[in-house]
Amino acid sequence: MLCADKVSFSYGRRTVVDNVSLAVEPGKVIAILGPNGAGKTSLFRLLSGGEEPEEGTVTLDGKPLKSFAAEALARRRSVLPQTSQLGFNFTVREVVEMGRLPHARVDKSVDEEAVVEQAMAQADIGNFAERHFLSLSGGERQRVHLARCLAQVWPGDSTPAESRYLLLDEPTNNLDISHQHTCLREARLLATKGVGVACILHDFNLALAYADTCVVLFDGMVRASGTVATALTAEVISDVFGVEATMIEHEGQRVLVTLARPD
Amino acid sequence: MPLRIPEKRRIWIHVALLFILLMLAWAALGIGPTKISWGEIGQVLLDRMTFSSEKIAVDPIIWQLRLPRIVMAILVGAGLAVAGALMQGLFRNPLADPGLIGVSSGSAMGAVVGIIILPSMGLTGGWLTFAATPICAMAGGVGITFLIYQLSRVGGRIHVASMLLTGIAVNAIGGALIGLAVTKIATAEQLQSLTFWSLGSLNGILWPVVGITAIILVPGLIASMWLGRPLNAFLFGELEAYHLGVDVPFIKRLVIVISALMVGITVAFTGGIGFIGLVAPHIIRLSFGPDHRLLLPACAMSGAILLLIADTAARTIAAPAELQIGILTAIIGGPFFLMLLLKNRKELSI
Repeated sequence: MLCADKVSFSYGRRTVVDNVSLAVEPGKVIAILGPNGAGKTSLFRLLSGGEEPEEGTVTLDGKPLKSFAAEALARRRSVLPQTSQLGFNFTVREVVEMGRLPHARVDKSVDEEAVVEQAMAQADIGNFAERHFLSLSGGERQRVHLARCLAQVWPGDSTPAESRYLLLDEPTNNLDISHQHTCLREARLLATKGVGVACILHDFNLALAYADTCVVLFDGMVRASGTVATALTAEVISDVFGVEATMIEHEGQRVLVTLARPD
Repeated sequence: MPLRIPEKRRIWIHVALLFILLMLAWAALGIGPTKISWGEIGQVLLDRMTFSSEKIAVDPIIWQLRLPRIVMAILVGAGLAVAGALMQGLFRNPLADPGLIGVSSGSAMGAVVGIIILPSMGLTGGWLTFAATPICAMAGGVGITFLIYQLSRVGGRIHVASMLLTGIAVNAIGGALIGLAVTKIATAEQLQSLTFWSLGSLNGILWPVVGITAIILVPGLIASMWLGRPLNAFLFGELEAYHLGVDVPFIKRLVIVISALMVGITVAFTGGIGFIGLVAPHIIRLSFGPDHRLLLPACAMSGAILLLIADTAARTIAAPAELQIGILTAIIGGPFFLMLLLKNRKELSI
């Protein structure tokens, strides 16, 4: 389990993460929601080990994150960033292969090429594997990075006793609606194979449809948490985002609708 | 579009480049005021390798004059090209050339300090006679590289304009200080001319200097070859590289130290030869893509080839006079730099 226990973090005097606790469990999808600047990405940095919390601890299977070497950690969790700054013209396949970097010298029995191939198929980028990364559109690049992350946490190789984690920071950015669903279906599928998935989302309905639990952040603090059914209510959304929201049910699926507020 | 060669067949790129390099080196041995045939070159090398006591007439020209210079050109070309490729990986930008961003100037300043100030402080004689200049040059290079990296990093990203502007400033300061030192402080025997530090030269290189250079460059080059994988990850940004399992602080320091040491040692003995670190990696990237596992070794050989050609031209074009080698590398490298700059215009918001 990847756990944050009462973590806090600040940039200068501004506290961006304030006493937050959450657990990314193997086999589960946890959604993190909240308005812009609520501290979602900062919380992710703490979970991924990119930053150390000023207070509280982040642990992986009970051991503090900082006791892991960068490479050992990279074999067990991958992070999809919101933006990437790759300015060199790799091919799509080369970018996805980069996800296998931490595994390269560990387990020789894994067919690296097959993993890369499958990850590309899952992210629906197989048809432009040989194109150059810089010639792609924003949404296509996002899917390439998703495939890279999938390749990095690909289940089934190395020791299965070690749980793996996938951290996705707004993975649906720039994606068309069909690929937004594909992306979260893949995340869900990985979860059924035992990967713990944490996902920053802006769309409540994607969270309702694909996540098990969620954490709603506001001003660096947890405003609501628990299963999506209990935590993601119209009241919480109205409260946190300052918009009117209402829940409707359609064929057994719950859908949150936000309403324009008359001036 | 670059040709993508499958990993298993990349060895042939290296074999081809090595073959070209060796052929050029052999040819360069024959070129000069005294024309020497390929057969005579072979005879001299064979005599030397078998420690034969009989030597043919052209032996001193080959063994004492041309061969050390050619070996030096190969070493320095490889060193500068790999240092350029390392820095471009570190700065995540193809414009990061050791000469342009000020590393060469920093090394030259270090070298001048070593030549003028150490003796005036009474630190001279013994091993310092040989070691002071290269050590000071390398120290200057390493210091300046750390400084430039810190100054051009804004919020985890490399700010290209800051990087290039810092280079301009360091180059200006370095040029002024060296100019002052050369014309006002030092005696003629102490220092090379100002053009040596700005344009470089391989004139008069002898075996001991080649040996000292190799002591630094050969381990540096070998260590660089191990950095291909982490540098590939680095191109995604520092945080991403960490996510991919790279020990970022360690690799960063290693890259800075190795590349700056290699630039420092070349500057100490051959002055500021520009643009090799820009042109050689760029040719390889254009031809075979940006993968550092291929780029670094291929760069070493293409840099060696480029500098060998440039140096052979420098000593023959205006013979018996010597052309500054930096003039030739700048004539080819300058337009290259402009082309890269135009391609990167969008990122250069100042």
